[in-house]
Amino acid sequence: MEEKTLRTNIFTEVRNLIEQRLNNGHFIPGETPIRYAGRIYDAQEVINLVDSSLDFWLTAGRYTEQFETRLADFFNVANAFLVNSGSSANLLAVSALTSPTLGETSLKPGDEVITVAAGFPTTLNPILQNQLKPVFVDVDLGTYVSRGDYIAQAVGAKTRAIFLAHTLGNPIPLNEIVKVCKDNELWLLEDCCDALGSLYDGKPCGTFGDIATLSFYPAHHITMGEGGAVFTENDAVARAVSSFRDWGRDCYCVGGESNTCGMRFSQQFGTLPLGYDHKYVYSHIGYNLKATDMQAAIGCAQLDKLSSFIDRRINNFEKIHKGLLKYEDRLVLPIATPHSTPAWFGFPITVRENAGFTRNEITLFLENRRVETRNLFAGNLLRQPAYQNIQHRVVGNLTNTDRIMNDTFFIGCYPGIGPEHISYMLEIFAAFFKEH
Amino acid sequence: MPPPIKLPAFVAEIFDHALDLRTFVLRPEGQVPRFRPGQFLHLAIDPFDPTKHWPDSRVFSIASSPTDRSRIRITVSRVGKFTSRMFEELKTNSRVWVKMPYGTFCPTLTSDSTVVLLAGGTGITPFVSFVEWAAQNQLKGKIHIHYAARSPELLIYREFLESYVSQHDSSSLFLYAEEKETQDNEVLFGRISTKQVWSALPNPGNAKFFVSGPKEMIDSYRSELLSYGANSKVVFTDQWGE
Repeated sequence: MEEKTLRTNIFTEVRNLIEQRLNNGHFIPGETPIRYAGRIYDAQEVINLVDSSLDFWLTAGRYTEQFETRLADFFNVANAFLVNSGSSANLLAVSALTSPTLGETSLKPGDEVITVAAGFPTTLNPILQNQLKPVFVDVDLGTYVSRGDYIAQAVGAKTRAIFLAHTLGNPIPLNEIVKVCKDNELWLLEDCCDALGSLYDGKPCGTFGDIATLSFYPAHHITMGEGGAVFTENDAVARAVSSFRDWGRDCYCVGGESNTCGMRFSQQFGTLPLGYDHKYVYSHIGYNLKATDMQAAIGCAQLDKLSSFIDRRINNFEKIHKGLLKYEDRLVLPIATPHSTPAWFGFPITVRENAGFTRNEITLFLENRRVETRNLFAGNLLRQPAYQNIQHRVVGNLTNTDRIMNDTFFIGCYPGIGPEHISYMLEIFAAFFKEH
Repeated sequence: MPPPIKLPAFVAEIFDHALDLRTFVLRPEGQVPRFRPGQFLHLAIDPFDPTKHWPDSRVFSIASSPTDRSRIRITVSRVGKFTSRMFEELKTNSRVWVKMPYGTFCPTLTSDSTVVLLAGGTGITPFVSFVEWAAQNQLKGKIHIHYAARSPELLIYREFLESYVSQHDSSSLFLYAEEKETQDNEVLFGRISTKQVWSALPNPGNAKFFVSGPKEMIDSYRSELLSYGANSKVVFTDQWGE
């Protein structure tokens, strides 16, 4: 039998198995957990995965090419790179800007990077790992992102970059922040790990700054298990990203290829002998942060669903928001940044100071009734054990960051949540407020 | 530069310019990948199986603008076994595989920039991509083109370049026939004159120079431009195949 026919037969069986599995789930209120996030897939993801496995190419191959191309088209940028996680993407984005190939504009040890402490650690970590100094500013409650005036006040003589996440999918005020960057010649790095599909002024987040990142961990807008991406319009930055991702090498041939530039044995690098094999020339102290073609295969099937995923997140968010409006005197409900349409990662809620109950009391109530909750990641990163001795600067105060650490949580609005889940969640909120 | 991808394409059109000089227009299955003007592709005649390594291929500069995502143009000179196979085997609707984009020989244009392009023979192709792209995107800036071929008939992109220059007052085109004198007043006899290249520029110190063609030509003009005072950082050469 021909391989094509054998594959088709295998895919038919895979489809049967997955459809049977996915048809077995029924929502039982109070028993079935309502997750804050999760992978949404059908048979096509698994068929792609099996297809890629049968290729047994393993490293970046046809699915990686397809995924990177489609992602670049989604953002209308020239360069998109698949990597093995969103955290790796952040590490690469910052590391790439330290490349000597960028000349005077490259980030150097001791340079300052403005960021926030109310977020996920691996937005901050690459700043520290590259011997840069973070400068922290506060965020607003409700939007959970910082403000242009806070950022402008934080710019100092050594400030060279701004690295901010669109927290829980809500865009940072990009018009104001891009202006600060232009006025002060700063790099802007957008952490879009929570914000694939969020729009600002009608344009996708990630296309305003110099470089941006995505995560494809199962909690995120699309998934491939582990995975992430870096994208940029800047070719010089892209070349550095590619190098840092691929062991720091100067050559950009993908695995299994050689001499695609035709100059493999004819160039001079450093004090190496003339014509030293370009495949083994290293222009950066890099990493290996590549993903496999099997991850990309899943990602390709997920990209087909991205538009519907975004719509469902937005719709779910609106329904939950409408249902919780009556408790606004006791809960700070989320607010979209002006000019934005967030593809919300989650539905953040802050317990008001005079609410009469604590964050842990309400989250415990929800959790006991199978409604999953999460804190807004690390709360205030500066209060985490790992960051007690870091070199940093704080501009203004971090009052709201501390409020978030103490009083904020989020629930899910991901596409796995349907109308029956939302009705149940709102019933549980009603039950809580009846008791409080 | 955008990461390269592999994709099948069909030969949509074939244009014969001379006995051993032919242009192929390729229509990929799906969109043409993003690329920068000046980049090149690898073309394979034999089918590519994604479970195996890339088959034997050769590189060709892309001679069309990246703005058009439906087709790619390459101009091929028959010089060896592989290009002979292309001339003999590829017909309209033949299926080939391409992987692209590659290369960093990419001129750019801003309103205050002056770009000088020196091309010999099919070395004009990356510049055709660039000029077409600049025209389609209505980019401002000065483009000065020096285009040489063995004989006037081999200046195959002459008409296109003349049309561009006629619509852009600040740009210029110099044509050269290296081996055959002509009655055509617009075509100079002999090789591109570096002296003329340099003296035609009001402010050569602000210009960027791009040289594309046979290796000997590239080496020669690079060295001559440097001797005229060009900074080595602003002389770019299409070095593939060294």
